[in-house]
Amino acid sequence: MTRNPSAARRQLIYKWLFLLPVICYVSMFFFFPVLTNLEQSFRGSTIQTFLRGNAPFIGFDNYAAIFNEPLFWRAVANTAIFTVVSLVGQFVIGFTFAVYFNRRFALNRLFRALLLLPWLLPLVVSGTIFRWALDQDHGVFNAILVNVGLASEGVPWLSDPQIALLSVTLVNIWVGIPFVFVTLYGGLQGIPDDVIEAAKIDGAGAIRVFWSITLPLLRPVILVVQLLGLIYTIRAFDLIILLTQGGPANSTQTLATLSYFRSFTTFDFGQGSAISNILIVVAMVFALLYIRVTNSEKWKVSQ
Amino acid sequence: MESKNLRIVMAAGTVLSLLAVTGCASGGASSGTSSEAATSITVLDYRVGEAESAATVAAMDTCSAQTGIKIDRQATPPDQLVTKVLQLAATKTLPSLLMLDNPDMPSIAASGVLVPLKDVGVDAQGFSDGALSIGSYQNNLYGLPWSVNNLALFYNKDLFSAAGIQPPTTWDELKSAAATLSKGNVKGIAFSAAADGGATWQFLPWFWSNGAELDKLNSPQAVEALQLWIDLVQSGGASQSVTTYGDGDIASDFAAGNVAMAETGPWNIPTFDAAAGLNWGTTTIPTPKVGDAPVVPLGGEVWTVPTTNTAEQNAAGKVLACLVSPEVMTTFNDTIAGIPSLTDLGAKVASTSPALAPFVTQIQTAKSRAGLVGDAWPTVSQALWTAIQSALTGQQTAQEALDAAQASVK
Repeated sequence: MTRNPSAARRQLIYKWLFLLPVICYVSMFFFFPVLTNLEQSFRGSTIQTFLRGNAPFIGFDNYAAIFNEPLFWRAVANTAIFTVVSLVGQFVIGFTFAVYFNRRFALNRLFRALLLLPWLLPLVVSGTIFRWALDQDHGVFNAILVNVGLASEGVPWLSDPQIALLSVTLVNIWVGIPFVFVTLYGGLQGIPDDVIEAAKIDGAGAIRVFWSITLPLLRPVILVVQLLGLIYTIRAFDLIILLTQGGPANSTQTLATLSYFRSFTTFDFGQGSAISNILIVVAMVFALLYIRVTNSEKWKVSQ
Repeated sequence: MESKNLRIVMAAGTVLSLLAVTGCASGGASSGTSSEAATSITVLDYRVGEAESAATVAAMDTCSAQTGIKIDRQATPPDQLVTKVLQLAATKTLPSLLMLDNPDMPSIAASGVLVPLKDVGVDAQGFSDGALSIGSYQNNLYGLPWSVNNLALFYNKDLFSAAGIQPPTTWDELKSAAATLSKGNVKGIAFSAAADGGATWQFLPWFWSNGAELDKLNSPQAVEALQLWIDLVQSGGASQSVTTYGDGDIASDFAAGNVAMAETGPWNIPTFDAAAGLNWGTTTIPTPKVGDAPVVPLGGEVWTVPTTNTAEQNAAGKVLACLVSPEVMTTFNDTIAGIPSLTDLGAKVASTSPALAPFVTQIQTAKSRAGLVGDAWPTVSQALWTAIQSALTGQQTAQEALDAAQASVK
């Protein structure tokens, strides 16, 4: 059957008309800023050149400068530690909660709702409260530790460079637990009861069921949670700014905060852009991985 | 096909931005004769707190009535101001009158977007030397402050009399007072050594009073000043938490009676007045030796006139002159507990308010933060606060930390 050429054409136009908003949106809010950021990272930008619009092209100098800087590598290490420890902590606790709540018991719903609270609070609120709670002299954490006798004097949670990164990471774990918990809980609920019952009839104990049935079936959900968590965590900024501003003595400086300080405190927009580009590339790798995972594995298993 | 659609989008974008550029350009080209003044202007400031914002609006209303110029005022939070100015400058939409925190002014002036005040007929008679120094860059006056401030020592009179000691005047007295007064939950002194410009601002009184200068961050005088802070923290006279303290933390600790001494400024006076049971006084910053004059950084915002067009700049000059006139300045400073930048008015404030007197005394020797280093100030400030944090947390000695700071700004 031959189709009317003008109808085919019209269809093609419709197709592109529907695509147009997406193209506009992505160009304006994604390609343009990212490309500008990329271009800026090759220029020597200061306040003056920014205002005059004549920042000189300096090739890879910004990248060379930051690679030669110990502070950059410290920020890389801090970002890695912060991200890995956060993900592991959030996962272990979140998963424990998810398994725990996956049974029927009194007040299950109430406690599940309460566990979501950290998620409902604006980060500015939880960050500010934790800064008070972790204060060395008047914070509630130290008051408890000292009164119970676990510590002889207040722990310098945020004011000791050896401890500050750990403290910030612990707060971030607290913030991230609800997300992991809710997603994994949903995943657990999605595992059909008959599969588990069949395994039990075949003689599998609770531990065996968990390792051989629950965990493999949950694998795609776990992967998605961890990848999303990684993308969220690697660029964590607000919490660190609220708790320590990257201090003391740069001990909690991450790539995101370092990029911010370069750009908006010392107004070296070139180096700030260079650092954020590195961060974007790393996050992008994991984002692509995420897309691959959601496209393949998740559907393969659930169907 | 895709590229064609994309081209259309981009073409539309280009046309729009061209329109915007020509629109601005024609606006800029309509400059008239040098005496002509526009009938309305725009103002951008960072007085966003409730009381200070109201005081600013009141001043604008007075000056609008006085000059017959309509004023459209906008305000942005202080920490976003420079970013906002860069954005406005890049899009050629700077306001007619712009408030800048004084250490930021040289960076903006260096890029040529500010007009020297003499070009718009603003007279700087009667201003203190300090006030003029924070408004100047490379021998040109670009800004005038309507309110200045600095840092002095607030002390808790009850805690001092209970310990039977006097407010300290020298570093040795300060160290022993801080040690004596630290008992239980109470610390001797609070200052800010957080990872931001606040730490530099708070450290400069000790740095400068000991004769150090910002062009040599690792001088022996600078090392001694940093050692003073280290000693205060290590002896327990100050909390180790000072590395996370901001000005707000200092004020709330002092108001609650948790510290005996607080290094802060006059803007906290209303808070301390309102604190129940707090019996407080102020004194000048202790100096290394008896009889030395304390040298503190001069705080306060300056009003500047960005490059717009002649008519707008002239109108902005008229409004600026009104904002820094004695009546407007007095009313504004009464509301926000600031110090008028006109020498006569400052002296009057000192005689009527004993709490403000030490601040007014210190203005005579106060210095501009960016005075020596100019547009390098943001870098120098960051180098200094990083060194302070490294030294106070025991990562480096005072000498090592300041050597690293000096190396990082060169």
